Amino acid sequence: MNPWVHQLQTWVLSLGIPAAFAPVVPFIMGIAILYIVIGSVIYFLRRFKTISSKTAAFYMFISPWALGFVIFLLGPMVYSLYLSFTNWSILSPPQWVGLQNYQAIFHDQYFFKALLVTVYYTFISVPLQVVLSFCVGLLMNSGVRGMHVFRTIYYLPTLVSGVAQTVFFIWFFNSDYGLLNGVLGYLGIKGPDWLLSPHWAMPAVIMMSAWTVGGNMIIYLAGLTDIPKSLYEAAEIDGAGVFQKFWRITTPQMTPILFFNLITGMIGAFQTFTQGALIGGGEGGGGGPNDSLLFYVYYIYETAFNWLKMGYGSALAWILFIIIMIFTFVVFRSSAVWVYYETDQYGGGRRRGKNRGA
Amino acid sequence: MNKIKFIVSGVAGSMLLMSLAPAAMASTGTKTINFAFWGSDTEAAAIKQTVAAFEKTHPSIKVTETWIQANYDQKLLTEIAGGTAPDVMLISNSDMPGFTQSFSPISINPKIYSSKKIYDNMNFQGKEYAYPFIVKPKVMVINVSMFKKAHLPLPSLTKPMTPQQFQKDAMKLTHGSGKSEVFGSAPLWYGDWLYEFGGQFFNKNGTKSEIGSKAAIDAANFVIDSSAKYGYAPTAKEAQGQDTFAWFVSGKEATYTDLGPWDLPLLKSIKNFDWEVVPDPGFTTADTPEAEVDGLAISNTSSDPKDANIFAKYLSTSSVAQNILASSPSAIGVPVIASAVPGFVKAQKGRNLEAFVLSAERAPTIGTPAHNSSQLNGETWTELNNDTAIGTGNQAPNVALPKIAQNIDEMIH
Repeated sequence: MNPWVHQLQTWVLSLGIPAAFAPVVPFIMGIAILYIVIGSVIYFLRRFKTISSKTAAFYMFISPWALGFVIFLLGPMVYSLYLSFTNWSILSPPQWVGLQNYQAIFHDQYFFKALLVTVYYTFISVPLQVVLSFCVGLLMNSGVRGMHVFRTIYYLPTLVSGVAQTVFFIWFFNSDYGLLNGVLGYLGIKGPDWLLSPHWAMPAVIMMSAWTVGGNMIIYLAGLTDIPKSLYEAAEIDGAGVFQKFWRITTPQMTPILFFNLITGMIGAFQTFTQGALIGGGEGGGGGPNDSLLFYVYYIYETAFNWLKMGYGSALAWILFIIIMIFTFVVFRSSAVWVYYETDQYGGGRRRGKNRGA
Repeated sequence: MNKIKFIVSGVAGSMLLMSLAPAAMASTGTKTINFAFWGSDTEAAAIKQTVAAFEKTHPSIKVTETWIQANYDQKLLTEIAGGTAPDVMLISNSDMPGFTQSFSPISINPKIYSSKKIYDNMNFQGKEYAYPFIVKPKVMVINVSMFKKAHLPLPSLTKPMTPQQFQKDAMKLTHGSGKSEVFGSAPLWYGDWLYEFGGQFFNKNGTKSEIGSKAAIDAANFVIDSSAKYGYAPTAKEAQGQDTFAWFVSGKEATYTDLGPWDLPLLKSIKNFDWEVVPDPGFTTADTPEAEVDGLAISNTSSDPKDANIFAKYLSTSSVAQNILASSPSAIGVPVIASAVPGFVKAQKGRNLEAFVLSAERAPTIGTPAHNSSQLNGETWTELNNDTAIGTGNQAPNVALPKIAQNIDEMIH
């Protein structure tokens, strides 16, 4: 610990302030000093008319977020990039190894296994969630009496934390006592071993992911209520049926929201952790039966925090960052041909990338 | 101009406040050390009592407690990496080798402690790294009523049953089917039974995997047969997501072979439940069963190693502190000094807590690799679970375990 921070904490304790607050005081003082410096700089810039009052106010207002971003996100990211070129076991100083960690990744069987598991989950669960939550959104927009109750019921599961949800589903999928196999049993079907089977564990986790469609449903609902009624009225006058209205009006109008949910869902799916950490492992940790739930982020956690290979874990994290960037870029590029923006300046039609003016 | 004065005076005030810190600290005359530990509510309560006893006898040293309730190792590592390592850290014998780079070597007098094995567990590659604090051995707890109902003699209070005797009794105690099935035993945890059969995960120097040994294979077969062949313990499928200790206390299992001292408060709180503690089954020739020996290590970055040593030594050797740990309502483990052991044994009247003491005396010195021990342990367990019926695999132990040992050896070297 920095000697100044240590002395400050000791002094704080000597004042009779509870020990729990001791680590916070140096932090608050640090932030206060930082703000005094920032405030002084902006004051002088304003005084010498280098910036306008509005600009000064803008910088002051965004400064809490900007500082938080630099200290808690950008800083650790840059540091992890440095670490990815080192061997660091936390307990001894990092040793520079160049690209060795990145080279080792491509000879690591668990890397490919984790990547395969994560891609499998992402490619099945994300489209499933996008479509299912859209369908639920449509249902919840139907104007049936008591709809608020249904909307609340569908939204409630999203309030349950990931760990609680996973523990609940471990019970739900229990081969002998679980609700699912119990219901299947009444129908004369012998259910599989679900989370104990290397073949069924992933389908079970994908089914779990459908439980929280309520979060996306709210976004779809907001989008659906924004579609101008006049479009439907005009379509009806032209003789459009229910399916045509859905396909020609609702779906195009909702594509920006579908796009948003697809991007956020995909990034979230690539970062799945809890299910992999909680299911299957016993003493050996998570990862599911025969590593069938070895999600990439769980593998990063295992490598960095359980095996104390921080450098290798950081390299794995940066590889994931690049993979997510590539997939996000591809989806963004594809949006040019399937996402419709009402305010589109090119004739109100679909954006066509480079050929949009043609 | 006023604004500038305000800003300048603000900066100057902050600087002045910080510059006063050392002076204020010196004026109090009290030194503060930080102590990190893990444990349940009851364990933490007992540890906090020992800290209070220390502060009473050492008024010039104040101890700041950091009670880490979950993911202890990771949080400790984070503190060490952040340069805020606690002065004194509770550490288990199995975790200690991985942390020695952060600990100051110390000097311990082995004669103070009730058993040399306790001292040996705090020693790594010829150096002592932690003051022994408490021993947490495993024992077997039995449902006495179920033994009587099955007309079975109760196991000896002092002599461990052999695995074969245990198996025979457990089969007799098993009855019923489906949801009303009562098992003779809770699931057998391989991590215990490996030691019961005289095996180890690694050799004493931590340079070679021992998971391919005959003892390890026999233990694996024994554990697998308990559910797959003889059915006296729940299968992994049946036990999935279940609290099998809760099954024991609810009468669904007649015996539970993985009882630690931390389970005693719960057992004690259950009314109309006739239970008894006996030594874990196992071969008496082996150094069995596994026992967790916890010690108090001093950070090599401590700003006050002298006081940290005084504190750790007090908790380790003071009869007051050790008696608190032994005889408080939670009785968190077997004390490491002989004079406090009777207090532990009497902590729960009418129960054979002596079984814990006997287990502690037989505790092995666990061989742990010097590097990557977490990864090697994790990999061993992952392969055991994936390849054999200890988990979800189906390979025979005599085929799978030697291969696992070979893989682990390659990783060690």
